[in-house]
Amino acid sequence: MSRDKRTGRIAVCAVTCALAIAVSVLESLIPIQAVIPLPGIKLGFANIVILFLLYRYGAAEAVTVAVIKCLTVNLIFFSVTALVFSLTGALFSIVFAIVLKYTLSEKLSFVGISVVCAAAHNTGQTAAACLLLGSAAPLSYLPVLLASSAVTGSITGFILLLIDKRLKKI
Amino acid sequence: MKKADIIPIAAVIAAAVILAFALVPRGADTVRISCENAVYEYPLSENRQIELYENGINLTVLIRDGKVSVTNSTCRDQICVHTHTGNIVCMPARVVITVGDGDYDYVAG
Repeated sequence: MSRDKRTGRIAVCAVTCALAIAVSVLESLIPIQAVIPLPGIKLGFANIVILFLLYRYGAAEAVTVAVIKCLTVNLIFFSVTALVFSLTGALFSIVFAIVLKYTLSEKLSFVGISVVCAAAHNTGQTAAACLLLGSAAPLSYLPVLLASSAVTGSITGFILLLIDKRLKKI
Repeated sequence: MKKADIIPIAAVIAAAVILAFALVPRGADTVRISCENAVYEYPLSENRQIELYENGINLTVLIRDGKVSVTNSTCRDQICVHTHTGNIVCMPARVVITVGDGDYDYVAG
């Protein structure tokens, strides 16, 4: 890879990283609990940035930005426990996104992909909680999280559709 | 949007519904509080208040009228305080509160 190309890639990763972090912080300011009164539910706006990277650039960029975003946001604003959950969720989500990109991207739009990502994210987090506690108890919350991921995944996917449409014109 | 988008959405909702039915706790009358180093059991029928101190977090567990809830927690998340159905999990304190045996071994089997 030429030097210019590599520099360009680094610049894109840096900009999208900053964007993902900013969007995560912005999201934590939205009182989603006022609309959906359930604990532990979030919109997952950062996934818009990650999916965009995956489809416009590639898996390497998307994974890099996802991991850096998790590390930064959780270590600055939350805790190490939150980091473990966030990271397992993000990795589950991105693995599914990569598989979908290379298998079903013709058939699914960003809405469907985003819903799968959100569900994978929540399943990964629940699995992490089960492992960490050595108990199956956190499983009982998974139905609630899955149902919510159908909603939040659709919302973020729809936003990405709108963004993608506008960016294609540039 | 594409037509096939409805498939993952429907599948996720179906999985949620199926799991919700599969994970209905078996009728039981014991509250089990699992902490990092100890497990406490109390009858669900007796009203009582239990104070816990785990991993730097104070938790108040209330058993009243056959229901268990966490009424106070000094953690930041407050997820356990807002959980009203099923098992109550407090991640920061590493405390799990279950009614009945809480193990879903029949799900795996």
